[in-house]
Amino acid sequence: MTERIIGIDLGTTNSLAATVFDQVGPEVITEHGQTPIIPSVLTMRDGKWLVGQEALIRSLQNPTQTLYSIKRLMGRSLEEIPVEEQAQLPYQLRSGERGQVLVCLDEQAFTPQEISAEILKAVKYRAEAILGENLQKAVITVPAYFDDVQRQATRDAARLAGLEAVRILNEPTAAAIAYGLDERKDGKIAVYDLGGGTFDISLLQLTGKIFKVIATNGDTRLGGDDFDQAIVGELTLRILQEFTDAELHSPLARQILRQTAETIKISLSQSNEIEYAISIEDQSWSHQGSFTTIELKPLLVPVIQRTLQRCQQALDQAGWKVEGLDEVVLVGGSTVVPEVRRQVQQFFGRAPQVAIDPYKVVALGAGIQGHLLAGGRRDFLLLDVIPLALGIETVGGTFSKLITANTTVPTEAKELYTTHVDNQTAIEINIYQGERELVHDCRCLGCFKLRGIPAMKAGLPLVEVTFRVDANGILTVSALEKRSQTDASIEVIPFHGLTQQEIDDLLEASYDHAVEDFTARQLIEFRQTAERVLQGIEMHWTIAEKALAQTDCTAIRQQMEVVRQRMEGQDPQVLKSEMDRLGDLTRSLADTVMGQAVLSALQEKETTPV
Amino acid sequence: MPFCSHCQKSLQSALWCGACQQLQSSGLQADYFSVFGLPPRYDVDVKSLEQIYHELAAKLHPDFFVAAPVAEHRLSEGLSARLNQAWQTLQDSTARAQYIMRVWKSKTPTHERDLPTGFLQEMFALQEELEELLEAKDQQALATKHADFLQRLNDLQQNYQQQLIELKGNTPDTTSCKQIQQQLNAERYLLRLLERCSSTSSETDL
Repeated sequence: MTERIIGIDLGTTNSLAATVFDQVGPEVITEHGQTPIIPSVLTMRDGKWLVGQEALIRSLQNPTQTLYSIKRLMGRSLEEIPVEEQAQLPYQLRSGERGQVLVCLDEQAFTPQEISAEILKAVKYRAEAILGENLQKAVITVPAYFDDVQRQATRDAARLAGLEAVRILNEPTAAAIAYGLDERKDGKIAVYDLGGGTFDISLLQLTGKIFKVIATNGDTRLGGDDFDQAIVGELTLRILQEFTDAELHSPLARQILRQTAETIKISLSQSNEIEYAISIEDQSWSHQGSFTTIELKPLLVPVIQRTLQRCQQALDQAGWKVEGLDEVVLVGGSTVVPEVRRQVQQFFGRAPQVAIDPYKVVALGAGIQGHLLAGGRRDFLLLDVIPLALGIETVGGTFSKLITANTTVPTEAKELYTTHVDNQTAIEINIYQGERELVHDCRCLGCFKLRGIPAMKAGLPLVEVTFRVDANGILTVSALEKRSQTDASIEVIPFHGLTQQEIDDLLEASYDHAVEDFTARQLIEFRQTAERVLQGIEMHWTIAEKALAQTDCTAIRQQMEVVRQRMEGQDPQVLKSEMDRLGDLTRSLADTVMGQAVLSALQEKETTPV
Repeated sequence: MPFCSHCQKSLQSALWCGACQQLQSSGLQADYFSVFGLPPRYDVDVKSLEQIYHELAAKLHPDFFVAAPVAEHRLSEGLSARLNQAWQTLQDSTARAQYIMRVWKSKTPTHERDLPTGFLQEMFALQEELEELLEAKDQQALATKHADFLQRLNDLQQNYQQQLIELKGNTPDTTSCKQIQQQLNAERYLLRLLERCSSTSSETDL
């Protein structure tokens, strides 16, 4: 096996990584007894990113400066995000140069790619610390219904995090791999994947070693967040009924309501009723109430119904009937909601499969796919599809499909173009993705400018444009002038994504103050710890001299000198082993005499995450 | 059958040599039948076609060429695309008929827009009827129309499929070529009418 390729589930609410361990098999990457999950929540402190649990804890003190649900913004323009949805977010959005959405934080503005990159870095760094190896490649999962722009944005985020996204893998497909390889039964599987912010339904046919996606459907803006919003709406009504002048639109109020809603949703997954209390700092009122599963149901049902409509569409696209399915698999954190399970069971007429933790299954599948891509196994093959048709604008703004939805990837389509004017040397083509009849209702992926067409009479040049979709569902375009056999050069102007120049600039900027290399980061970390330990010992040296024998004192002094020398060196492992020796020498000292100060300094050395 | 560009042995599939396991760059332009090592005949056993498809996919897919040189990885991507298109086309009875007519087209005069005599007038009449029913939202009459269109479609398909099978892979003469092409063109109209019928009925369902 060559270099390890880990799998990363980059989720709307949570992110985590998995890999295939020798002997053990696929597992999420975590330390003993700790959760593998890193909440996809971020904030900044002293100009530095805080990601995960730390940011989540601060979210109430710091509501306008806490970023979450960033995945919903990936590859979007500001005008595509409904005003109501913008209003629900405590943080500010603004529009970038080409209309792409930017997130404001600390008087700076970031693209969703940059922010996602910080989440990916946190996942990467933790995985590196646990595995003890440098990681540069990953399989990163996305909702199956992500379009080309959203996939590109995810791949760019990986690049910014110092990771090569060897594969952009569809989440439901990843889950199917994790289940399918477990069971090894041929048949038809439906994967129902309801996450924090996205919904996917994928239908797969398993035949021997082949996992073939037959149809996929979904909504990239439908998920558990919508349950929370529905509950927030109900809470708002209740509070305003009681206190007509309550101010519920401040960022803090929104954050508190959102978290209360989430708590209610989670608690009602286990019990039938829950008491809650809401009060907001600086406001005189306080509201108490109770929520029952009966009251919850009508809030959830409309959202669940929308997912089931999508399921029916996918079945129609595949030409399948519900009765013909062999298995229904539930994926995503929002499928733990009992009402979701009930409705899904009713729709599919069978109890869904939940044997693998719905929080982990996507990462596990990605880890297995990473293992395959790294050459670790060849005993299965995934054939996935493109979720939405790709095409070009033709006369009258009609969308002319070149590649239809649910076409197996990789695939390609060719189209011939010519010129309208004598000696015309360039042609512009607008490329769209979507399922509607008019380009106006589809996503514009970008404008492709063909240049370098040999000067000829109008209509004579024959430019063959090839649209290629790779196994990631990502489009590339190339062009050839057939008469002269010259390659026409193509300039791609992405409408929402980052240009190559922008990525390069961001990468360069991040090199200035970020240490990408695992060894280098480890060295910095160990040096800081060593510094703290040495200071701790110095501070308590007078006690040590009284409590310890002269020989012990000398040994400690000598070892302290060795550690100081190693701190100047470049090898983190050598420094670590010398620090361990120092730890051994001072252990009795710490235990018996020195008390909490040194002890905690020494303990910190053990637990500080790298 | 063509030969392997590396070991010169004859190829089963135009995309990949089973003897020396090498990708065939000439396969990027191969016709869909030779992708599967089949003669250009309309009657295809889809089950065994699928088996060959899976076997080839497991050899050609870019997932197995991640560590390979860039050129080889790109070739595997191109050949996989060719394989996927070939499978998608040949496994579908209509797409297969259209494809085989395109293969023959180079040898026979074309009838790209020809329709059976009187067909277009009939279609216009049917279309008008359909629009009226849609306007009136007469679900029952629409369902009857839908069944009628389906019946016409089935008859048409059975007819040209029979003709194609009887050719046994031989190039058709001008008359039958024209007949088959006309029916394929007519099929498009019928499919469009059917789509119009069912798209509107599912909208009213929602």
